Amino acid sequence: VTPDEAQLLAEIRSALTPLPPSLVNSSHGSDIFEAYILTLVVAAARFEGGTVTYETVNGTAPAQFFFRTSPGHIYSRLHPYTHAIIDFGTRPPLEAHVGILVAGRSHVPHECDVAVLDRAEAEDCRRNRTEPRSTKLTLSVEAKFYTTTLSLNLARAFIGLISDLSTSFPCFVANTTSPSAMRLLAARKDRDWFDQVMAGRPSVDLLRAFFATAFHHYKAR
Amino acid sequence: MTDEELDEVFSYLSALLSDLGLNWLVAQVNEEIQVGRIVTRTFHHGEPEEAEPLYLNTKTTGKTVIGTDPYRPVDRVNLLVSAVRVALADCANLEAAVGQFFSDDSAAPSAGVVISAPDREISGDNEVVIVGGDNHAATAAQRTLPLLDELTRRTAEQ
Repeated sequence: VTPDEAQLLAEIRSALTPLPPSLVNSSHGSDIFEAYILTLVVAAARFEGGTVTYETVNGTAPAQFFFRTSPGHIYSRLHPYTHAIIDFGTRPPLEAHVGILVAGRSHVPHECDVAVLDRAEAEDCRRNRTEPRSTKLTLSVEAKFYTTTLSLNLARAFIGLISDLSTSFPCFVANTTSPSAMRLLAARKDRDWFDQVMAGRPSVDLLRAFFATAFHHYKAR
Repeated sequence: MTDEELDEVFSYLSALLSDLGLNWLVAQVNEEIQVGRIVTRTFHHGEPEEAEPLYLNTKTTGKTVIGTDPYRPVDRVNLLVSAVRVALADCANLEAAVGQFFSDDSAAPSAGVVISAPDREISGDNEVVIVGGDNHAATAAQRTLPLLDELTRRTAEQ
């Protein structure tokens, strides 16, 4: 490289130092993305008339938010992990979690990046140290925070995942996109997917509406 | 810049980013480069037509097939720069949005801090504050994005 280019690259290095905590490894970016999706779930629940409160895994009011660096057990008390409680009044309450393991139809654990499930099931699982059953999920989100075009493998993995989950509202959410991955997901109507999801972009409205639809159906059941 | 110079910039920037701890980002870019750009090719009478990037078109004909084209040196540098740009800008946006949501939420704890903490049994025990206090990603983005713009401008001068 020329001295000018070397100087520019040195300036880039200096500008990126210290590296922001959210960029220290790939999972940290994913963790914020999952926390962001949880805020959309909470907003959709309120839009549908739900009351939302927060609780730690120990049943206490949280002093600050602790979310799991995926994946984790719903019953883990290593940290005061926080979840949201969603109550529509007329139906049993729900809980919204970040990064929990869920038991699929084949009785193997799968990670749900964001999950909404029956509170009664969540309480049983915390008591018995078991993973929640996917039949008790109202919605589940496979979240992908990427800096490049999405790999086709991610879409394939999602298709495999939802074949073993019993949730009515599974969806694939990514901050970037990929024509080939989206083409694969679009090939069947039962695969809900949202690409280029980022604060301030129109795709967020579509995702929030999807979550609201899931809650609307739950209330009507 | 010549292709050789662009390759050198790519190697230098990859090494710099890996050294800073962004090796996960470099790996994502290398994965995309390894696959190549997915393109469709339409054949008529056995002759290939000009390849086009794959579009979201569910129509299929017996004459259309897909393949990949390798990324050129300038594309590889642009992919790397774009990845840094996305990482910085998206993390800054997300930190701001999550922080704002919880600070506006009367049911949320007043601390407004979001900590990511692994389940030690599965994924280690290092917890990290991802939201709260200063938006570090926004600060880094503010410093870095103009420099990336300058690098993009120079690599375009071929």
